[in-house]
Amino acid sequence: MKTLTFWALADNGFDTAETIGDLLRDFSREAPDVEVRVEVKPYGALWEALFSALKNPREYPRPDLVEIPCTWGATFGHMGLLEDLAVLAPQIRLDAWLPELRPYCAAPGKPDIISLPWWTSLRVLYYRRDILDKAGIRPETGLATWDGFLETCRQLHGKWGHQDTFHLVANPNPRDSLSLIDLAPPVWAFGGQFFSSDGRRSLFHREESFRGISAYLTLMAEGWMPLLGRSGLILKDLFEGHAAFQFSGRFPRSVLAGPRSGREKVTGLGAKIGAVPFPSGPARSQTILASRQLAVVKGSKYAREAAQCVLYLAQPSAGSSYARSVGGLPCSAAAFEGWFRSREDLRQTFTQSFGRARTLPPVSALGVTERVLERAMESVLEAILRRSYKPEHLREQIIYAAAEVDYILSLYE
Amino acid sequence: MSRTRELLYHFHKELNAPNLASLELMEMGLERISKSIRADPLASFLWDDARKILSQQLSYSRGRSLQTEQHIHLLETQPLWQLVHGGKEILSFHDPHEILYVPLAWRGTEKPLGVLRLERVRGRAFTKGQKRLAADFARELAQNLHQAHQDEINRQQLKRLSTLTELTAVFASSLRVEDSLRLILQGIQQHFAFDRVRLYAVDKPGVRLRGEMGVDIRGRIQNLRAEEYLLEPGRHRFADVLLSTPSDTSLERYRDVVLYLPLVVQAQKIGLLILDNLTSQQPIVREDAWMLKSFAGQIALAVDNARLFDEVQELSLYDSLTRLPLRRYFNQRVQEEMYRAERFSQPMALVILDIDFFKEINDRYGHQIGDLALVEVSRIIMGNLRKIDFPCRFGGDEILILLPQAREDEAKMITSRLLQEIQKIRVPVPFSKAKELRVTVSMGVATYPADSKTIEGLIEKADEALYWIKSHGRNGVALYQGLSASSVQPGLFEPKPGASEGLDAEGPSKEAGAPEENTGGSEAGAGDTGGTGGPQSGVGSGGTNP
Repeated sequence: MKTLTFWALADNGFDTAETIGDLLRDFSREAPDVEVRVEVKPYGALWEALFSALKNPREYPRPDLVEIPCTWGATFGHMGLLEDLAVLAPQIRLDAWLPELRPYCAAPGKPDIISLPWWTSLRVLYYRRDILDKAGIRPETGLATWDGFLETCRQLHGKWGHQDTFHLVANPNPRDSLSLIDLAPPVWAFGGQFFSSDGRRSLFHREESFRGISAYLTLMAEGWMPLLGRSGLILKDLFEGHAAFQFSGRFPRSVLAGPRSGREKVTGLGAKIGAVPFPSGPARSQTILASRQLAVVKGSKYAREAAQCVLYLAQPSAGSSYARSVGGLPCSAAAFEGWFRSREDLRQTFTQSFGRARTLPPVSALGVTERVLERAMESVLEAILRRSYKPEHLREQIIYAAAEVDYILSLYE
Repeated sequence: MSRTRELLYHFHKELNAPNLASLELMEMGLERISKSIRADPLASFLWDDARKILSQQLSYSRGRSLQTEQHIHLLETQPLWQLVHGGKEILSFHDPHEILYVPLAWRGTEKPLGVLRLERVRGRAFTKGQKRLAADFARELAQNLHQAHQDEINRQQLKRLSTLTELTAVFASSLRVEDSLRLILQGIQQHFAFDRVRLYAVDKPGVRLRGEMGVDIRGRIQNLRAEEYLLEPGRHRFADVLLSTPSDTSLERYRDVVLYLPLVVQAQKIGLLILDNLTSQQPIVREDAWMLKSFAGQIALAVDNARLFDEVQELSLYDSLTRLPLRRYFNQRVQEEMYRAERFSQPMALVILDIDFFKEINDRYGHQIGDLALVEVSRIIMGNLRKIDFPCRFGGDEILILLPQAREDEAKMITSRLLQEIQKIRVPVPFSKAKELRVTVSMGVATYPADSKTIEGLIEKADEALYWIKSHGRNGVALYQGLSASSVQPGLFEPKPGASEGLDAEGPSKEAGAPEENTGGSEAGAGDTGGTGGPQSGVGSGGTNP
């Protein structure tokens, strides 16, 4: 029996391993001599575990396959941790998946296919219709631009005030912090960039990027978005009825799409939730298309079997099934079309957003940039928490972070 | 026994199973607590005193546990802070459902371990008794966790010590600088799992910090020779670290992921070792940093010893005056080349070079001038050989040159060039009339396998050829090719170049009784050399470059 170890992210919480297990039933029938053992790891622990395995493979055994965020592929691909799937499974054609996701599949500067898309997220602004109705705010106008959105928040905050378990804007970050995925849309909206076009220099310290980050930080500085798990209270999000707004790339079908038949009208909380494309900034209206990718790790004893498993999981039908379970979006155009069931309003929003979507560039230092930025932002958020935040502090942190990333980029040359 | 005591007793017994790692212990603890108090989900948080955060470790729900990551940043004014630091025993909330926090602490520790969070999404609020029980369970769990942590710390410490023992053995295993450095750096990178390890050395005058070698994330050696920094305050952060001068605040920013280890031997800073996790952004473990800092002295000694050894090696292998390899080194090398020549049927030539009238130069002008002449000749030799050729100072003024893979014609070419270049030497002799001294040499050449198939045979034959040229006018080259007294081949010897170029008339020859044709600055007469026969020679005439 060939046992494959699969390191997966906790996309479906406690049910992750079970969900993947269910998905693999057909694979097990096709490959009865292959057993897949799923180990669920949190985000930070997975990053550390992959690096430990890279640096000291004798002491830290590597998995056979791994689920990674789209921001990590270029970094680990560059360091030689991921197999070229085209070699292991020559039948792979990237046509099966959304062409927009191709940058996430490739090693920087090489033709290798180092990962395949599994499920995606596309950031939009969800809102509570009933709350806006009560305040007399029309989402099409009030939430179309970033200024409009901030003004709406101000108005609503005046009405609702501060409540312990209800926040105006739920934090999409699972650690109540700020990440690259959170910052990308506002940075782009304000005309900023993260990297130069040749991928050799960081640009997020430039004025436009700074203004984008600063605008997003306003949500936290004003107390509209919860911060760093501050109170210790369990904070529920908009899909649990505890926020008026939420930036999210997900589509939790159980809440939004209603009963499985698809013909019945959505009731309850789901019916109260609408969505608009990410608010536009002075420069443009853009949102981020992110994904989770599947890869085979170099050094796997059963690399071909692992590649077959990756191919199986990533194929549109299995991928869509998984996306459905975790509240994500599918990676194939065909599946995307029929995804929203009875929610024509949301389908329109997502289709519109898709037209404005952008991926992060496949720069070797992308994964590291994510970590560096998070560290910098944590310092800023700490200052907000302690009510000692000043914009100069943000600027300083961003400049340092950019310098650090530039140095790391130079190592990759 | 009361029900509570009974529950606690059983809990205590289960947690005391041997060899449980912290995570397993926590998992077991949460499962038991969940069943006993009917709470679901549960989560454990550990206190990070440096960052002032509660860091979530594990969640438990419906019979399953999941490693999770969530941080709760605490301010001193918050109730949760008081819970963590002993000011409160229990903290509960009722919105959005029942939530209970109890401290993970026990009387034996000064610092809190963390907190447990218990929830009851549906059903009644936790009773007072349940809250008390939860706090008692947490206390029991904390005690066991503390023990498990201590065990893990001890294991880690043991591992570090064993790593250092291994590394020490590595240091002792090789003394060649390159090998030593490579082993040291790779050993540190692998054992302590750094992204990069880089070594910089202070140059001899103490002016510059030079890159030596680095190891990357995959354990591959990187050449850092292109890097060089002036050791002046403010020039570069590496210089500031080594000079202990205040640097910009960026160093502070990276203190979690970059470790600078100045290498000091007998109060002298000899280098800088830099270890970083800039790519992985993994914070350097504090205990690893301490251990490496205390080990830095040994690393410094190892690096210094290796360099010293190489210097001593060089001293014993190289002549300090001429920088030519010494006989000892030559003997080693010639064996290797002979083996190669035999194995691959390759030709080889051996040249013996002798400075003409060297004794007279010393006697007339002093040993300093003699040394200068020797240095100049050596310089010319080293600058005009092929990469594979091997010169050596055999003794006194005698220099041997091994020419691997060289046939007779190639040997002629090389020796001809040497002769020409050496003839251009002008050694300043301020106190002499001509103010300078010209130098000439005589060379005898033997080839393998034609002249001999042994080293001793080659030396002997080359010596014979040298003797021949010495007795036939000097300032030339003779090839041993079937040389015998009766087989002198006429017309093959060509006059020495520069014979009519007007040299120092004050040659030592006349006064010292040396032959007329002295090269100690005087012209060697063209006819004096005579010589129509002898071994093939003729190299060095007319000053033409071969």
